[in-house]
Amino acid sequence: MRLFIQFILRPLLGDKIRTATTILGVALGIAVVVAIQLTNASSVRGFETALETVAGKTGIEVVGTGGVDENVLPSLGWLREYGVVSPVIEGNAALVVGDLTSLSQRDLEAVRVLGVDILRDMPFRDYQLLDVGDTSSERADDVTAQKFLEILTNERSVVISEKLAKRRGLALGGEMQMMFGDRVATYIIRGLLKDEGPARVLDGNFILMDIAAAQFAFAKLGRIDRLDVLLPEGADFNQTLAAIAARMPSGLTAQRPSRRGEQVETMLAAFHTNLTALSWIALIVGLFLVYNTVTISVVARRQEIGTLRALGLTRRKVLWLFLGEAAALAVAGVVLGLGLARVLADAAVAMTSATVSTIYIAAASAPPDMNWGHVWLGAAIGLPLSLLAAAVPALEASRVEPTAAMRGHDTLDMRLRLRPAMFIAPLAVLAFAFGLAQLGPVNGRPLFGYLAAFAIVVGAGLLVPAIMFGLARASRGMLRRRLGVEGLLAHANLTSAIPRLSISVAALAVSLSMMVAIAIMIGSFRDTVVYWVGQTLQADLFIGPGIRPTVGQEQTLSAEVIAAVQRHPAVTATDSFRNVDLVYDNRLTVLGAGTFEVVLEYSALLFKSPSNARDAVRAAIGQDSVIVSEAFSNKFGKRDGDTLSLQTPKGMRDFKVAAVYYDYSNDRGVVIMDVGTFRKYFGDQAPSGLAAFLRKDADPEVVRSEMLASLDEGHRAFIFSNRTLRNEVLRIFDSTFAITYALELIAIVVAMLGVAGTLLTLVLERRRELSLLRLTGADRNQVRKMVIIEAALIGAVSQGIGLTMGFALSMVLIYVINVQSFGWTIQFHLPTAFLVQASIAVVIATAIAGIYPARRAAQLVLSHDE
Amino acid sequence: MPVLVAEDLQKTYTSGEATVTALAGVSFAVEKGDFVALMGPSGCGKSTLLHLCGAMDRASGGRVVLNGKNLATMGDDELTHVRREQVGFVFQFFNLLPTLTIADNIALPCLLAGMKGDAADARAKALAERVGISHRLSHFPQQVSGGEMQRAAIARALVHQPALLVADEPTGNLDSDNGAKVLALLSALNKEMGVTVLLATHAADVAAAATRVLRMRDGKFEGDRQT
Repeated sequence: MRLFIQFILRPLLGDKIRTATTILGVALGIAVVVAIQLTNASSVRGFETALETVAGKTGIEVVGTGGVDENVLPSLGWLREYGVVSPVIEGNAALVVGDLTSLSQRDLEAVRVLGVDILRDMPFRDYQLLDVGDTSSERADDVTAQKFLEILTNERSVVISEKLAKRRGLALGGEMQMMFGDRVATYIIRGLLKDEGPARVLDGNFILMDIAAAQFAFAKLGRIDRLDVLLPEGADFNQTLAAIAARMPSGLTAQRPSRRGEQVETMLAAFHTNLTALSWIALIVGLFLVYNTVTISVVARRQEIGTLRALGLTRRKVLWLFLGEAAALAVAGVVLGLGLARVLADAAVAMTSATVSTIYIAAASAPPDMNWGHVWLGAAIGLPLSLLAAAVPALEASRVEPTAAMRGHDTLDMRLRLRPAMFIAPLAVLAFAFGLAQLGPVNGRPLFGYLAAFAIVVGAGLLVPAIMFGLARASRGMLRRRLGVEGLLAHANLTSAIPRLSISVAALAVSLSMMVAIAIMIGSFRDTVVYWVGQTLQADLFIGPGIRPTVGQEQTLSAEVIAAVQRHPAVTATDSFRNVDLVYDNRLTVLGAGTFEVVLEYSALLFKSPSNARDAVRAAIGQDSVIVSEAFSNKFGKRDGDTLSLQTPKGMRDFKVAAVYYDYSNDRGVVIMDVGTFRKYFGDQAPSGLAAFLRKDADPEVVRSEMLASLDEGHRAFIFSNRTLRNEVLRIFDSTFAITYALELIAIVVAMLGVAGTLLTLVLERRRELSLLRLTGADRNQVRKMVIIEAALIGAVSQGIGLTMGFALSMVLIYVINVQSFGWTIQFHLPTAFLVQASIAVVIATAIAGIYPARRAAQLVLSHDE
Repeated sequence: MPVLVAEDLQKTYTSGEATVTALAGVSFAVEKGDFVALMGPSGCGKSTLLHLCGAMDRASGGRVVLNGKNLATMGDDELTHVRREQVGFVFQFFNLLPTLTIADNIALPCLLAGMKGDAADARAKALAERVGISHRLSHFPQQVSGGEMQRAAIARALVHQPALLVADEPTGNLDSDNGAKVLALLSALNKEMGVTVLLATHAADVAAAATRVLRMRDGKFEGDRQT
């Protein structure tokens, strides 16, 4: 132990920059991994917590696609045999917190609205009234159901959480405005709820109202969202669920409430897996820093090790000493990393919540608190992997011969030769990767795709020494001619250090290749989306409700707004669409209704198949036919001509797939039926959006203003012109990938630290040669220039390899992983300008990373007999 | 005018509280074309004196004048330029850069001084021929014998036509046969090229190759003998 403190800890504390860099590297790696776990958890947890908080003691819920028709309720009387039953309306609304005339998202705050029959619902959920409206001075903790009923009799009465009241300065008896879809309504606050039970949802953004008022507010007259069933204590859950399911009329499903959470989790799985895979890159690069630091410490102290060995220290002890160093660095890195994770998670949640709530669910919530599980995760990946990374240099240290080290001339034999195995093994791995990329998904996950990507990384990494030998052979003359004696020396130094450098170059190349691959993937994707948007966003104006449609598509447009749009003289045609959540094959997808005639007339969709898709869609009007998005087609293996069995309020029905169309707005998969067919099975439901086509000579901006002005006070809608919607689509697209770039940037920064570390190792290892060089007449500037050239060369070689590797990875991302996890066809497009800029930036950045080692090299004290 | 003049040259090393005197005030002058051997046992200060004369280190007291320039007042960069232009080195362990070929090792001083690549290569080739290793030019140091390495080191030390060649135990790591050959080569080059040689050794037979022998003990001169 004393030896460890003197021999390992003291030097670590002494060499602050190197130690700090390594710890920071490990910390960043760990932090990114844990932060992404937290972030992923937050997007699902936000939904699940809300779900559980509101579900209360509900054991079983009865749901149906598009809700439950009130007319079937009498036939469900038998449900009471199994427990207490409560009908529920639950959805998101917007609390108006700003000025409605300017109407932007800033003026709205999402709130969760629960509409129940309070008498029936009291046993389900823990409602604790704080104050009662008519007796404001009296504090009543236990309010009888009677009193509750008095409060909620009025359709304009609401009970809100105390937290929300405080935050927004709302008072008991006061008024507040809410937006349901496009409708603005004023409510009177009749009671405040303690921070208990459902009032805790969305950090207190909770509104309770009577079920009839909620039906009215959400324009769901005659429908409810679900029936909650409270089982008596001691009831066998599974038996009861099976019994209820057996008696359920067609069109309705009995399930546990958490089922919805699981569906959301499945829906987000692909998004989360991709983030997790990315986060591991930062970790791997961080571990490479551990390898570097332990190598430096071994190299810098060969003589000391030799002395200790001469004095009788066993090889095993030497090995443990350096593994101990790695462990010390890892522990510090993990501790710091866990602290950083919280900060990164907050940032990551901010970056992803826009995506998650735009594309998937309204669940912008703070990441969950870190628990022992995360500490355990950080330690479980950080420690063993750090030890693994340190194993190579630690073994090297244990092999130091006492005599050789004492002489001080014992540098490693670096003149490794190019052997055929250096080509054959990596090429075999790359061929294997190619084979893996041809395989299909496993359970809807592109497992072989990830393996193929991993194999590409491993294969290309193994090929690095061979590539470097080749480059070294080819570049000597050029470097000497172009960069003079410093170029010659840098070339010589790097060539002789290929075995040691290969790991650094491979690690940097891997990070860079991911950057390249992601840039190509996103660039291609963006290009495809721009083309798709150009082809499909044909309407001039798009009219939507106040809150974005998400899971639980309860936001609808009212007849008044539709009328106001259609009334406008410039409008030549409108196409309304209605989206409802559709559970297909136990996964959440979207069922939409559109007017096929308008779609065909204005080419609002881009079809993938069949070749005569337009005729097929025309023939589908009035039939039990649907068109499906490409994502749906790929996910569920349905092609045109196949048949889909869909759960409708009228039971399971078969629909023929008429055509498959391209859709990059939704990876859940969309099924669209003609509005007539939809009405036949799902009843008349208010649309969730409307597209308006204008006369050629009309100015969309003017029409938009006129439409908004024509709305009465009770209605407010978001109207996007074609141009602003296109911009909005691209804004959402860019924000979706912001986190990808951020993760990448971290990996690259860590890799740069790695380059600095590697160069520092080489400088220390070459102390004697550097001294010699100085003796031979090299001045400090020449030494500095030489090391910086070395750094830039490392950057250039890494970027070169990274570009090639990244190109291969992007193929896997675009043609395998994306297709299998999101179901999207992306047209390959090379973002040349970005790649050129990035390559220059990488070379400059690595050169900058070389400054510190260069200074150290120039400062070496002259001595020829070291 | 002498090439090298040392006056009351002192060097002390401090380590913690201990102070070690390596040179206790030595004075001497070396004329152009001289072949001077510094002889004495280990720790007598001959290597220290060699380092000071070769602009590798700075004295604690006194002064060294090389080709009319006082090294004692120079900064690091100036000393570097002096080494680059006026001094050549030959060491016991050859000290060739293992990452460069023999040809590049020999040409290195010229390249560092900014000479064009082709000109430096031509000079290196000519000297390699003179010292007898032109058949090894494309080899790396670890691929040739000790004697060949030392001959390459001598070529490197002379390629930039220095005013002074400093040799520290140049035969210390060679067998007697190779050692004799290297000494003969140094002696011949001294005569042919008129290069001034300052050589440190503990062996009398090596010192015998010189035209003048300065004996050292405990940081001082004990004797000065012309041969």
